[in-house]
Formats: sequence, C-alpha cells, structure tokens
Amino acid sequence: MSEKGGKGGRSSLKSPVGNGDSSGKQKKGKKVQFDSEDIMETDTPISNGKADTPAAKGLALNPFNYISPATENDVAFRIRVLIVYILLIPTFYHDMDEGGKGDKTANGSKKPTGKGSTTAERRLDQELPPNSTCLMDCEAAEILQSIQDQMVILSQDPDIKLPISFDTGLTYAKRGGNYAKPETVKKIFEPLKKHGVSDCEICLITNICPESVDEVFAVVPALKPKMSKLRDPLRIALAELANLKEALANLKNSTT
Amino acid sequence: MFLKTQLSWNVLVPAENLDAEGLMLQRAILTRLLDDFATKKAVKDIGYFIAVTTLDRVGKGLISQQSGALLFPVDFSCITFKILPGETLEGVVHKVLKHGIFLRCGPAEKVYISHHKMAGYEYVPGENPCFVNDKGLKIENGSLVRVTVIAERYDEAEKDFRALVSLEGDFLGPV
Repeated sequence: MSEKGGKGGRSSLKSPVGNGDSSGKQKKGKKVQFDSEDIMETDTPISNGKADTPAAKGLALNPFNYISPATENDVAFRIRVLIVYILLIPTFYHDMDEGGKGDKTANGSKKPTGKGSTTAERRLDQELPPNSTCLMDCEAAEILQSIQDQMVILSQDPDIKLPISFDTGLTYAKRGGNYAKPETVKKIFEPLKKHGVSDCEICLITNICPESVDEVFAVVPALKPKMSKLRDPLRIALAELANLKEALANLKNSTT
Repeated sequence: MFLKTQLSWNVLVPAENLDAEGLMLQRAILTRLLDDFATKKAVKDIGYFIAVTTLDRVGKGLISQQSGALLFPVDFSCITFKILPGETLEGVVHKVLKHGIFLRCGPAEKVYISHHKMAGYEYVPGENPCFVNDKGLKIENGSLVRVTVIAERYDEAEKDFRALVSLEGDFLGPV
C-alpha cells in the first residue's frame, strides 16, 4: 500500500524512498493496478525498515493508501475518506497508548511517562520464580512464629535443624510490630484487586504500612497510572487498616 | 520480600535409617530434607531459605546400587526471602562508612547505599559516624531506614546476596 502514499504529492506523510518509483509508475497506474501492488511489496520493507507494528500503523494512517486509481479523481470520495480518517485518529492513539503500556517487552522508549512504572512492575513480576507466590510480612511472621513455638519441643531432637536465616527472617517479618491477622489484612485490601492491583503489589503496600495514599503511590510507582481509579479505594483500605492497628494497640495495652 | 515456593528435591536416606516400620522411614526422609534445607543457605532464583512449611508428596524411592541408600523425590513448600529490584525495603544500619552505608534487611547483610544515592545527606565522622541531612535527620548505626532496591546480585561462592539500594524518592529515609 505504500506506493499509493508515494503517489503523494498527496502523501507528504510517506517516506521519500518510494516516491521516485511510484511517480514513474503513476502514469501507468490506470493501466496496471498490479504494478502498484508490486511496488507496495517492495516498498514496504524499504520505507519501514522493519515490518513492525508502529510502522504498519504509520502506513495505515494514510487514507490515500486505500484509494484506487479509479476513484482517485472522485472528490466526494476523498472527502469521505478524510472524514473517516479524522474520526479514526483518536481511537488509533488510544490503541497506541494501550499497546505501549501493555507491551511488557518494550524498552520503554515509546512511553517515557509509563516507563518507570512498567519497568518496576515488570521487574517484580519477572523476578518472581516459578511456583512462587508473594507473602505479606505479617503472613510470614505468623507462619515462622508457629514454627518457632514448635521448636521448643522439636529442639529436643538433635536431628531437626533450622536454616541459619530463620532467626533473621523472623525478626524482619515481625519488625513492624503488626499483630494483625493476615486474613483480615487481605480482606481489607481485597477490593483493590477489582481495580487491577496484583497480589505482589498488595504485599508491597501492606509490608510498608503506609499512612497516606500518596505514600502508596510513592512506594509502588506501578500504581501511578491507575491513580484516579485507586485513590478512593486506597483511602478506604488505609483507614480500615489504621482502625485495625489502633484497636490491636488498645487491646495490647489493656492486657499488659 | 517473603516468598512461598514449591520445590522438588531428591532426598538421600542412608541404608541404616531404613526400617520396616513406615514411621521411622518418614522421619528419616523429613530429617534429611530439613538437613539439606538448612545446609543450603540460599539459591539465586528464590533467595534465602527460611523454613520448610509443608511436605506435599514423597515419591517412590530408588535404590543406589553403590551405597544401598534410597533416593526419594520429595515435593514440599517453603518460605524464602528474596530481594527484588524495584522493591521497597526497610533495613537496619550496621556499618557507616565515608562513602556509604551497609544495611541489614532480614538475612541479607550486604545491602549498600552509596552516598551518591543519599541526596542531601552529609557524612559526619567521629567515634559514632553518621549521615545527617539539612533537616536534622540522622542515619547512624542501628537506625531503621526505608530504601528502594536498585539492583541485586547473587554471590555463588558465599551463597549470599548483595543489593544496591537508594534513598532517592518520596517517603524514603530514616523511619
């Protein structure tokens, strides 16, 4: 289709490579429509470099690619094509945006605003080994503490050993002094999943124990693109978490 | 971040631990698994080994013709700790140097912040060296600091991870 753009004195959009050829063949346009198709096949790789999506989309942008020589002189037809083209531009850029963000393999050069967040989220997901799931610190603390409690009895058996990282891992998991049950915390943040927040991101949020919504977006930059959708649900979840912590703190103070 | 991982290992049970009664054999398999788990400090893919949580499946044993030991394929779940690039961690300072700080984040002790990644902080030498910024925030031995992970690397020889972290960002710094 590129050669039709090459006929472009109309196609200022088209690459200059095909222009020479197509102008020569322009005179033959009516005679042999197939010639133009041949040019299209040869021109496509030259003008686009690689048969890549953006290039293909770039070609698709030029409405005159789709004009056959027969209708070339039909002004009304050309006007109709232009109108359709103008109407399609917003949807095209919307698709490009989605493609940029959704394209996890992109180097990020296309969408600089989304680059950092996509890269950060991509890294976390990439680094997760197979057959592995994220655990919240409170979840890990509960499991490790139960093992620690059983070690009182199990330590009588010299054959049973714990890894050297166990103690430091348990200390780290309990560092926040967060005694909330993992199930309760999960329920509080469950509504965020409807807005596309992954389990890994929820773990990141709960591990930091943020006090404000801005803190969440600073700590988990991958959520920034969804800021408008997530602001209210996050505010509600953080308020519930704060209430839970306060209730637990009061309970602890009352028992001591 | 803590991970829950499912692994499949082969556990070698020496012939002397074999018993006609199944219970002792199961105990032997479990203790060998725990021993192997405790010996392996860390692995590149899943991080530091913290604890075995469940024994999911024990397969059929294969007899080693040379030693007479039995090799059992075992599926189990465990908790590990892995530092992920892009993650936000909290670490305790355990070494303050002129050009940076070493933190301890869980089992990882070689988590390093370069002074280049501590914008606004100046080194204050002395008996108890520290980094101080213009707002009076101090980072010294024992301080709890929130950082973001730039990169991590596994040292096969020492079976240890090293991480490079940064204080550049909102809500990062001493907690």
